[in-house]
Amino acid sequence: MRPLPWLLLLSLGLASAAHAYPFMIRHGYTQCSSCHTDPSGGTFLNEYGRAQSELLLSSSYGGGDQGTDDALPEPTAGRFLGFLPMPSWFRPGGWVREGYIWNAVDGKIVDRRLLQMRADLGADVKIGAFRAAAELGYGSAEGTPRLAQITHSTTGPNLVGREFWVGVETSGGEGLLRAGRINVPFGLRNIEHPSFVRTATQTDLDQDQTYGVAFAISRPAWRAEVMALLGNLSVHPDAYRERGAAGYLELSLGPTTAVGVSALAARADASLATKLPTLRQAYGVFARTAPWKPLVLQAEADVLLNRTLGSGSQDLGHAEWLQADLEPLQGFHVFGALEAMKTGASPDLQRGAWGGLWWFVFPHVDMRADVVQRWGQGPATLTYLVQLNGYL
Amino acid sequence: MRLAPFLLAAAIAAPLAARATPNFPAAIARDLGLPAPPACTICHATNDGGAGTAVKPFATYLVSRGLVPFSEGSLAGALAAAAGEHHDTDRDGVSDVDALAQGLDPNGNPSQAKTLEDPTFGCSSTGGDPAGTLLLAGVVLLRLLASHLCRMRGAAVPRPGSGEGTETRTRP
Amino acid sequence: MRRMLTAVLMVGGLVHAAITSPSATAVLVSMHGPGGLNIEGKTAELSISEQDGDLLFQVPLAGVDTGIGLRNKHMRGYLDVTHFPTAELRVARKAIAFPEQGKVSEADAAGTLTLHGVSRPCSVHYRAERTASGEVRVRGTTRFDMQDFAIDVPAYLGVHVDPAVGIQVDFSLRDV
Repeated sequence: MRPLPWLLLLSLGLASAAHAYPFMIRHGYTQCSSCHTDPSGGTFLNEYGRAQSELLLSSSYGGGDQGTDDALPEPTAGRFLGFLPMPSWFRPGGWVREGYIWNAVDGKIVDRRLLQMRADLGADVKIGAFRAAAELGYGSAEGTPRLAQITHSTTGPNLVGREFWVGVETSGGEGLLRAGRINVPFGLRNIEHPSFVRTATQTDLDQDQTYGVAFAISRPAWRAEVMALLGNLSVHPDAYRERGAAGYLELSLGPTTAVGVSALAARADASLATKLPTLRQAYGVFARTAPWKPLVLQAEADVLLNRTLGSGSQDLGHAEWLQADLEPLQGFHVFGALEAMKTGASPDLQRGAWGGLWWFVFPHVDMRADVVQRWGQGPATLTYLVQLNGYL
Repeated sequence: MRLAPFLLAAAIAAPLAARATPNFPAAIARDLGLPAPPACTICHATNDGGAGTAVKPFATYLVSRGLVPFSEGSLAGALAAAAGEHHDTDRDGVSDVDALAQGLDPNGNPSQAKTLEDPTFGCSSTGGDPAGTLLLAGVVLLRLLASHLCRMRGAAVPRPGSGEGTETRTRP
Repeated sequence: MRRMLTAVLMVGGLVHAAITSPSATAVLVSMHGPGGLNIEGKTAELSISEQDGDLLFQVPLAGVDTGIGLRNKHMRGYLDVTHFPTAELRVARKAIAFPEQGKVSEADAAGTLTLHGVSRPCSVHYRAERTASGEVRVRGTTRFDMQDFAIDVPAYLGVHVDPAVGIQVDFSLRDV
């Protein structure tokens, strides 16, 4: 892949995604549904999840160390904005994320910009077994996730809607059947959504949601979700809409280890990239483990198959991601990742290295600094990004 | 004194530098003396551009001649190479530079989807101009205030296991 | 005769000492919640004593660690460890058969579980394996409903723990 797409990809979307933290497995949370309204993680937090954000995620300033039980304060962030008790059936949320990015090629800064990454408001509703969720957001002129657009401006900001659905809980709350615009269930739901594994499989949390029907189930020893992809109605004309299926199955091998498999197959009459009828497939494995509580390792490897229908040609590629997250102090993370990708469109092996610091300053407020280098085709690129995020 | 609030304030205030986004279509028109900027689809799959969509053969050629992202200087160099080499991407006898001057697509007409319009996104046309940075500052300050108020008021969820407050379930 | 009696008493004493001196102890308490929530409490504190022909397994509850300090605090409240500091399992000594070297014995044994001041009969499944070195590795498991022991079902911010609780105890013995 040439530097331009890499840098555009990183700069337009670095970490503007939903807040899914697979590294919470270090606390024994193998199931995302414990804290999130989406059983596969990300998006809204339930009341319990809000409390865990204060207890486990954010820095503690003398209010009680998780290593000792003395004088542990009860969390206040279980309440909306920290003090507003919400009815149990209504789970609101909102995100505002801003950043500043510098892109360098061959050691020279060629681009630097303020990024408006995300500004969304929404809520999840649970009345008996009935469930519904929706979020609306603002996308700046430079940062609109076009696949999630509701308004149509090509030069100005847009109203975006990444996720909205209705559903019903089953199996005593362990299952969720829903329909609407939903995150595609595949692989690690990592927040580094411009990573190769997310972009190559088109499961980017920033904009790759699509319309469909999904069923998810979460049990103590395993969780899974399958989804019928019915096409992204935000894209016109219909020829460009992909239809197919995707899903994953993850097994908990222990309280701090989980492994999974993913599969995706989608067909479009016209690919957005080539305008040719295309069958796109991805099959992969992923894993999360915390061999030592401060350290979480995550990995994903995917095989990519793109077949241009009618021509007989098929591209075979792959994408990998290996990440280490170290939390030496509660709320303060040091992370690094290696990635690689090879696709038919860019036959040379592309490689990337990520590193950075991530500080959850207060409950639902975090700061992050990333350095990302990519190389393998064309000149090497280096991206620096700082960002500040607030969650309501 | 906590350092965090000051760092947060600095982080909010810092990213206020001017934006610098290259405008390649206008730069191409300027460099080649075109009457109007060309469509984004001379390089990108769609007129919305975006990451990973610069897949047209003309774009591939320009990159091979040193085009780097956001650099109008490298764009000028790549266009100069195209002119000097009389490069003809679609091999129709008209060089890329001449095609652009005539308002044509140097990639030619792809064999597929001559009648398929470029993709568009969204449902209707509206727009706005909210102040994202101010909104973020508001959220962060609101969180700080909420955290401070809660600690001052000593707001607490009732202790569990005491029969008070926190819900429990017992058999009837 | 005296020598034989002394020898029997000595052997019995050695066996007694061996049983009441477990090593490599591990106690795991498993609870589940909605959406696949899995909570595990762990402690390495386990004592074994013999009383009236029964083996008495005791676990101090204050030391059980679920991995989250506040959750430990809540759990101690629900268990009322101030008044009921230990959990006890009483199993008849003759109900447990230790295998020969290189073999495994596995069976169910009836016992009595005392928790939160309430005693209830229970069934314990145990597996004992004697290794080549003579060490006997034992694992015992049982399940109970916390409401049978007058323990309020824990709930926190909309998350209720399932009343069914699983217990797994591992320990090693020598010279038994």
